Amino acid sequence: MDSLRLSPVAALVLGTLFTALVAVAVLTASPGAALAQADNELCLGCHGQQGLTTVVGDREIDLYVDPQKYAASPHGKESCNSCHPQFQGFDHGRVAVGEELRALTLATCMSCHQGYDFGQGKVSCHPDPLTCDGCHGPIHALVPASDPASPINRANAVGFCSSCHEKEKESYEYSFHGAARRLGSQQAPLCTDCHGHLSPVNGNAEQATVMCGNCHRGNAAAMANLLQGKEHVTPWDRRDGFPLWVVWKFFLVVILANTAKDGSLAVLDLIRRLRSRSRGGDPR
Amino acid sequence: MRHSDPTMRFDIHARLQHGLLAVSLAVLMLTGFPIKYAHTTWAPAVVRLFGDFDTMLRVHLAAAGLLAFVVVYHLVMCAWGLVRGRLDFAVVPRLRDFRDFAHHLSYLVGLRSDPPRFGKFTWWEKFEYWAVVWGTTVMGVSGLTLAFPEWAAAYVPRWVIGALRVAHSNEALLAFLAVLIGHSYAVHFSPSVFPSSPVWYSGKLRLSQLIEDHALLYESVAGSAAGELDRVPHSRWSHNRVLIALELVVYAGLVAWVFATLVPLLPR
Repeated sequence: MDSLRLSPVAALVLGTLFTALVAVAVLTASPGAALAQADNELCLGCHGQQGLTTVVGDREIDLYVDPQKYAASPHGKESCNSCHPQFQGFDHGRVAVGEELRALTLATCMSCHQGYDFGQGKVSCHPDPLTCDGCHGPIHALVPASDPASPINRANAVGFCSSCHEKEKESYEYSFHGAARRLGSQQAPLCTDCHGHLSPVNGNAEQATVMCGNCHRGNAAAMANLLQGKEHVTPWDRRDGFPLWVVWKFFLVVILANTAKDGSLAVLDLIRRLRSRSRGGDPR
Repeated sequence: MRHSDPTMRFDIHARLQHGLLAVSLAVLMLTGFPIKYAHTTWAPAVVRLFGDFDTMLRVHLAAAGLLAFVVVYHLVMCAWGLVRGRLDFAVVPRLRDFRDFAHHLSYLVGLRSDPPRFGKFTWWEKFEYWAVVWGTTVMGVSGLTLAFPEWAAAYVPRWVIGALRVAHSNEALLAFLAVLIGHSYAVHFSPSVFPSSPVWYSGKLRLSQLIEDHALLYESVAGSAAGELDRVPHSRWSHNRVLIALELVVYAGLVAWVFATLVPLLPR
């Protein structure tokens, strides 16, 4: 038994080695992962080099993929081929661009992420060139929405959406929802809480019930009223927010008139007291 | 009983109502204006006083509940007064109040030398009372709509709720400025009552103020008011020129600030 007794240092070294071996064995046990790794090493041999580009028509297209960022992305364990099955050999053939790339990207993303209306032409209001990466960030350096670095993280979403939707941002910040959000309320809704996954509420009664009804549990009549009404209006929007504009102007005039009344009474009364005192008479 | 002491203005119920109204309005303004002015630097600082936004909003709703209680309290006391035949209708506006207003203004600008003589309530006291009735109604209706939008939406179109939010926000500013400028002068900073009219705690006017502001009421009890004012003690601040000059600067500044801020919004 004495021959098996190990010094503490040797025990530590052996233990660490054993743990590492087990870890490697477990990690490489999945044949998919092993294949993906081999696959991706091959692809990244070229695509991991900065400055790799190709020219399609008159456009130069950047083909560089940052290996570290890709590995850290939610798809980092996936094989390149799982999204790019058409690129099996070194003769890649044609590279899809424009509308073809858009359709391909949407089809590829939604082959796993099913159930989104986006891009199917039904309710999305977004223009054609926009695809998943337009909001989620570059696909090969993707960060999940829960990551503070994501453009659509809850901390960034309003600023990100309003980089295009400026008028909506102005009215959102005017709204109670926007004010509550700005002041730190976690309950207050963001763009996506009402609009869902890129789907505008306009013209879809069921959706309004679902979206408003997430927080406001009203009856069918209330939901119908909310749906028909104009959202995203401000009092200074005379065209779209006319009733609000009228009320705002009415109160401005009343406030100014009342301040003129109260202010001039105080000021005139004080002047009268000052003057009658200076004449040495009774202040009244 | 009413005529036995003309300096008696607020019975215990009126003082309680006034005190609770003051507390609820102060809390409502403190917790409401950060929402109206959410884009300012001071708004988040006020929110931090309450911990977080949702707590501040709950305090706002609690203060609104207190205001609702004051309204009920007042209406119950009015109804009780009516039943006993003791409800005083002196606060109802009359044609005379408009003449008093014109007289008062002419007197202040020097077009008339004789001061106006008022009864139990001056025209500005009646104005303030009905302004509170108007303001509480507007804030109550719009506030309920904002607190229960899903309930309101069942009865009115979406734009009505939007317009009521504008009303809530701006009536609040109107009330704030009316208290800051009008009410503060009438009962605190007017040199005849500075630093405060005692009515809100003792229920009674100073005799000098009764004679000055309610000559007709005084005469109905004590005979002629002529020369009486010189014989009764005054607030020791009533002739203080430093105070008067200081107040002139402050009130003129406040009015200039309101106009400089709001007038540019008119043409937008």
